Amino acid sequence: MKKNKTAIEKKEPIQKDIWYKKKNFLLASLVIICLLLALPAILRLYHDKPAFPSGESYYNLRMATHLRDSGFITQDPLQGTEYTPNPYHYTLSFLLAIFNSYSVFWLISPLLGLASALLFFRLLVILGFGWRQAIYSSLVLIVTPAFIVISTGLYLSGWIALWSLLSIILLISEKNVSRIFGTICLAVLSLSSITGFIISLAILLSIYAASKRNLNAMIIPMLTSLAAATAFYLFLGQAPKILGFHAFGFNETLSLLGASIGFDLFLLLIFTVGFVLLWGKIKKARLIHLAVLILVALSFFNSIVRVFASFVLSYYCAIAIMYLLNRKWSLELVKTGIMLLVLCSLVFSLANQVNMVVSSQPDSQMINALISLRELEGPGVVLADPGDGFLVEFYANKSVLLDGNSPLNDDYAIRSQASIELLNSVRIIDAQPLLEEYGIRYVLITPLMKQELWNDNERGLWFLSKNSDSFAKRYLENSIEIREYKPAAQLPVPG
Amino acid sequence: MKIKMPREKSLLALLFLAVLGIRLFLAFQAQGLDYDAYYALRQAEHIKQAGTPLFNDPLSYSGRIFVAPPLFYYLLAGFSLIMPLELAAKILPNILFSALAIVIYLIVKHITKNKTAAFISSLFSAASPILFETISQVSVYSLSLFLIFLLSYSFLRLEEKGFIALSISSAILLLLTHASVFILLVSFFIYFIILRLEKQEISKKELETAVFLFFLTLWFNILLYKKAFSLHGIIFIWQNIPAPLLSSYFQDISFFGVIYAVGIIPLLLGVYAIYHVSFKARSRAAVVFISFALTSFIILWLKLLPFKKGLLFLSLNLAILSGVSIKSITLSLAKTKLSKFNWAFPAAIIILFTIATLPLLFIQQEIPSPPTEDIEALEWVASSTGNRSVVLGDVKEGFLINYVAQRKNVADSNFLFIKEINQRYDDINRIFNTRLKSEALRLLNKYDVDYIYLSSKSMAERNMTELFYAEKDCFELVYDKGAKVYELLGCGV
Repeated sequence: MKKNKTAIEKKEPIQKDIWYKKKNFLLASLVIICLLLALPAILRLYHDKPAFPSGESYYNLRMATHLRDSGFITQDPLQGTEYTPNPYHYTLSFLLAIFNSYSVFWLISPLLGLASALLFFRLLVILGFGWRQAIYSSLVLIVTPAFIVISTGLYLSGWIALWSLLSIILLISEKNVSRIFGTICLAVLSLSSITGFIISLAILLSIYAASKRNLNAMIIPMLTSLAAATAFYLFLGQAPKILGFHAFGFNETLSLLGASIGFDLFLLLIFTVGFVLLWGKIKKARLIHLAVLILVALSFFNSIVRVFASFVLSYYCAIAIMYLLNRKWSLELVKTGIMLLVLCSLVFSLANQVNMVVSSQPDSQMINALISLRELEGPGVVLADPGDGFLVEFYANKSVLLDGNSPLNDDYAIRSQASIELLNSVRIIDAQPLLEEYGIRYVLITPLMKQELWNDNERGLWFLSKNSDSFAKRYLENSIEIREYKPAAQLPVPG
Repeated sequence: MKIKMPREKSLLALLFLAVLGIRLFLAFQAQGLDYDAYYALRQAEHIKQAGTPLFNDPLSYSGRIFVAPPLFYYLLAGFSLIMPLELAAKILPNILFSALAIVIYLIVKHITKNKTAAFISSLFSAASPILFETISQVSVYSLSLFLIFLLSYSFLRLEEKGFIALSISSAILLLLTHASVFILLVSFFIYFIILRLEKQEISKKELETAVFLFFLTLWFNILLYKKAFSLHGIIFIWQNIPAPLLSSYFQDISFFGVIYAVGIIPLLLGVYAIYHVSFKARSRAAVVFISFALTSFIILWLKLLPFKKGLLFLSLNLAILSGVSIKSITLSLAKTKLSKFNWAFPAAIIILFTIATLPLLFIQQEIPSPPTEDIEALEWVASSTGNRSVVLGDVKEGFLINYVAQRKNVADSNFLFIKEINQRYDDINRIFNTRLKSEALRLLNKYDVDYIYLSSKSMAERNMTELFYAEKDCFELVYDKGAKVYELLGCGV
């Protein structure tokens, strides 16, 4: 009895020690995560740029503003295209209504990112992976390009990732209260994104199957979510859109080549190592690994799937890194070299993506130009680079010919062709029909367009708008030009 | 058979000096350097002036970026501190190509443990016809081949102390020299596959080193060439060479082409070695070079490497494998009644090789270097035209225009990062060949050309003596001494 007591007494300090170590490690990881998530926004603000990089963030901000003002809309007030309300925009509009300032959103993205990282850690622990593996996976997660992107801007993908993780964690719990909340989360997810909902459902069912749980327990959450989504789309009279699909291209999928939500090539290599290791380890789990491989393969065609794949990728990367660290190498020099290479890969992944976020538009010069565009009277569509479409809509409050949502519209191919023809036009007689057809009133020419489209030589629409009487210069500063189109007879005299 | 010879090192030094002497003799006989050498000279000059390689070049293509590992150019710049740059450009590559013979010797000696075979192999490598075509080239391959074979040598001896550090340092230097290290790394993996197929154990050290070097190389080259990959896609492997020029850079493998480049004796002995090692005697070290030779051949066949550069790799590997054949044949002869005449075999090989190959080296080959009158014309351009002028010349003369005339060119033979290169190449050819003044003026204005440089070489190749459309209202012949220089007089379209 006395001996047992002594053994127990000896065990307690050791366990307390381990607990303190785990707690400190977790706290240190959290601090690192917070710092890294805040870094891009801080650097952008330091360079006198708005906190959010160009793209979806501005679309979401604009829709949140419209929802705050109008309550319920089914059409984009500016573009006139079909709009599907979703809980994300309503949440943003609610926050906007309370705080009445866009600055509050600077905190939202990193907080969502932090929450996602914590939930990911929690999920891995619940699923039985060691806490060390879970922490390493979370740390690898924060250097993945996709995670950095969704945590440094207002992206629907970030929202989807958070609700997906929440749903999964709650629905694998045995407690009824958790399961009820999990069902609600899954329903919210189904209203936010069909793609996210399908993937989360697939992950849940896989977890259930792998852990040999009763699949019947998923029937109610599944049916509830499906019913909610069905009722919602029937009420709206719209078909659900499967978002995020695109053609395969390395420029779309690799962050090294400029993908907006991409994979880091070196992390993919490390993932391959981890995958091969786990594949060889436990034969019974091979079906799960195969499913992971399918997920990764699919992610090359869909940006939302890529976000999910990044979470999965980080786990395999953590496995690979831990294996390389703990392996008995015959050459210590090579081991040091490999670990340095892995560290450099992680740092490079982070640095590359942060650099892309920090250096992307808009900058103060672009904002000044867009504010000038806003002050120009008269309706009319703006012809701009599709990548700047959301910026023009947000800052200038004018519709554009093409923006980031245009690929979802039926007439995208025609509009895209029209845009190409216009940008290459050197004669007004060729450009005029298209300008009239799409009601284009303004042309925004940025330094990037001059470089990418015309190799810094005055050609195409740049040449035409500068030399034709049908165009008037409305803004020219820092190599950003705004030209107004009117047929020559109607052109007012400036000033 | 043991050749009674002076000390091994003396003989090796003698071979090195002999090869270097012959190479330098032939190099100084040529009046200038290869056209592409002027790119290396510009890089070295810039390093001397600014300490860094030329990344943003305002002259090439009237402004473009260069991406290339810089070690060779630093070495050239370092040499040029003690001698004129153009002299250093002739000496340094020839020293490196000559030093290859020493590395080949060490490799073959390690594989065969036979000094005679090693010596003959190094002779084959030093006197390889394809290697002698590089005499007037300021080629980065001079350093990269030296380092690649040094790396392969240290890989053979990984189990010994000091060679791991040598292999890693060679690899790092190689990364800073050229991307051709991939050929060796791929051959390592073929080597492992062959060992697996033969059910031989793979050395842990070899595997770890190969994997580490592979990932290090991949990482470095992805970082270096990511912009090129982003811009050109997978075709950046073919260096964005214009379509009309592709067939001259990446030729089909021809049997006679290989014989001419490698030499019939090394080719036959190399092929015999592959047969011997594959089916008769096992030799792990020889398998490394069989894999290397195989990889070089496959890469040539798939046209992933310019033809002449690929032949360099193939010829050196066959030279190494020749040593294996020589040893095995010598051993076989020693077991026969002809063992008394064992000395005759290596002697016969050397004589046959000399008869077959050496005369080719002394036949006056047309070394593609610019004639004196062309260089003088560009020197006149440098002294008599505005600093910001754009000079149009043939594509291969682009670097010459930049280096000698210090003026912008319209195109040169580094095609990476250049958009619409096919269009540009076609336009340049049309400017020279067209008879329509309006067409010529339109194209000349497109590229903001101020002067047209018609070299004597261009005139001979295009069979012309002047520009067909060069009328006095729009063009002025400002220089005419062998080569011609026309000034554009600001005619619009």
